[in-house]
This record gives sequence, structure tokens and C-alpha cells, in this order.
Amino acid sequence: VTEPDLAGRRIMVVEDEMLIAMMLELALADAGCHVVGPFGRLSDAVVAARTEAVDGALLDINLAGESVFPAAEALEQRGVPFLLVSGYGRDLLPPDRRHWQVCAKPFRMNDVLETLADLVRRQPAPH
Amino acid sequence: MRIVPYRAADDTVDGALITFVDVTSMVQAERHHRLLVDELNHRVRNMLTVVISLATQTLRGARSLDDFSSAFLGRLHALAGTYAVLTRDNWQPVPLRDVLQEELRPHFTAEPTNLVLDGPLALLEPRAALAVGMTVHELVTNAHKYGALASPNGRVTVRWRLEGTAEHTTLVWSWQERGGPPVVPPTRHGFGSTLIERTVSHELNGLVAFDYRPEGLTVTLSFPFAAQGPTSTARPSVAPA
Repeated sequence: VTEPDLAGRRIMVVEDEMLIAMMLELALADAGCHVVGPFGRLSDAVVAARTEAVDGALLDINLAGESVFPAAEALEQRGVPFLLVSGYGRDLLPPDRRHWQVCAKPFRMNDVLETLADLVRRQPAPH
Repeated sequence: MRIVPYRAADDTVDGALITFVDVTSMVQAERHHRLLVDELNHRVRNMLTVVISLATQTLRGARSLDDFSSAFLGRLHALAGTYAVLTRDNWQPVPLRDVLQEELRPHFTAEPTNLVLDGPLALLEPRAALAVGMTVHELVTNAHKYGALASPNGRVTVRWRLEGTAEHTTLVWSWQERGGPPVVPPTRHGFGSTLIERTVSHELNGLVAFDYRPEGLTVTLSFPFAAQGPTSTARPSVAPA
């Protein structure tokens, strides 16, 4: 098992379930990341997606009944890679957004970190 | 749509009979069913992730297997307790008092003389109920280990009130321990207190204050309270004050 290389990266976390957000934060901190967030509300997530300098993001698809897609769009426009996390399947993605990566809940933390590290490596975000 | 031949008395086909059946309601029912199944799947997966989160984080702070086991199972049962209150009431807003009683019941006798619950009827929507349930569980567990309930004369008083206007109501809730060993402010910030702080800020959008007086710990929570009365069809008569 190789350690996902995320050290020194700024990673934004959007997750409305507090306990899950805390777990993601701890795991990212362990991997040497600086966590931006977590944001539990769509409005905060969209503002952060537009303004925060981040290298990547973990986005829970469903935020208390609201879809996180506006935040994902904002990140995509800025060229920031992100990984969607969801209890729903891929079916939920808009037809023209099938290229977005989704990790199903319940996830293995290492899968999330590795996929995210991969995305960040392939598409370094402009600061 | 159904098409059947129309036969005359001599059995010759004399036309066709076309019947239209409106299947809208069947399609709607099917769609509704699909939605329910999707939502159930989503909730189960989310809940499993929450359980994994609890296990992961409880494990970090655990000093031994016994320590982990009681802390982890205690938290799971606390979650299950509030779920029981919520499912009993069909996932409608539930009285704060019911949530408190459910979470405190395992820690007190049937007619406790060392516990006071005092406050008006206040209905909590499910998210807030789960957050309050988790907070109370952490407090009562802590009281047993280090606080008032670690001594035979210790007692706990829980009071709450609603403040502000009808549009902007704040629920102020306090947990006060007395009669325990002299309180020493904790030196390390454990998962329990982090959990309380994060629950209050993240889930309740509120504030929490810990007051470590020598005579006993007092914890005060305040959070925006959305009145849940008139719109709730299951409880038409219980609009909170």
C-alpha cells in the first residue's frame, strides 16, 4: 500500500454530516493536508468554491436535500479537481457531467485519499 | 391502450373496440416507490458511514479495548435512542424533553431524585434532535466518569427556555452538575468535547459554553429554534410558545 501523496495540499471539504466531516478532516490532516472547511451548507460551499485557493476538493453530493453541483461547477470552471462522495449511485450525475468522479458511501478512507491524490496530481490547480 | 376485435352476432369481425386506461396513478406510484427505495439506500449508506466515523474517531481517543468498547457502544446506543424517538413519532419534530429522557434513562433510576428536567414544550426537527441527543449523551457519560454522577450525592439539573421573538427564537439550554467532586478544568481536549462543540456549531448553528466551576460543571447551549407547531400535521395542537 502506497501512501497517497497529498502532503501540503489545500483540500476543501463539503459534507453536511458532521461526524463524517470530522473523519474526513482528520484523515486529510494525517495525510499532511490543510483542510479548508468543512462546509455543510450549499451557499457556503459555493462561495468557497469560487474564492478559496485550493488544490482539490471532497464534495458530498447531497447537502441537507440540496445538490452540491453548483459548487462542483464553480470548481470545474476554475480547474480545481474534485471528488464527489455520495450515498446515491452515479445515476444522480447530470447526463453531461458523467466524467465527474464519484466515490460511493460507505467509502474506505484510503480509496478516497488515493483517488483524490490521483486527481490532484493529474490536474494541478492554479493558485 | 387495448384493442380487441368487435364481433357481430354471427361472429364476423365488424370493427374494433379500443379501450384507454389511465395509468398515470400507477406510473406515479411506481416512481414514488423508486424514490423511496433510493432514499432508503442513501440513508442506510450514510448511516453506515456515520458509524464508521464514530468507530474511527472513538478508536483514536481510546486508551484500551474496554475503553473503546464502552465509549463506542455508548455512542451507537445514543444515536439509536434518538432514532427510536424519531421513528416513534414518524420522523416528525419531537419534544426536546423526550429526547433528553431517552438519552438519560440508562443513567438514572426509574424515578430519579438527582435529576431535574425543566422547560417548556419545544419541538425539535430530526437533525436538531439527533444533535441534542448526541450532546446529552456525551455530557451524561462525562458526568459519570469525572463529574457529579461519579459521587452518590451528585445531581444534574437541565433547564431550557425559548427567547426572542416569534420569528427569531433562540433555544437556551443548560446542563448543570452539583454535588460531585471538585471540578478541575480538563487539560486535554478529548473527542467528547470536540464532538459537542462541533455538533452545536455545525448541526445546530449555535454556541456552547463550558463553565468549569469548582462546585460543578455548567454547560450552556444556545441555538436558533425554528417553531415547529402549526405546519406539523401530526401534532396540530402543540405550537411551541
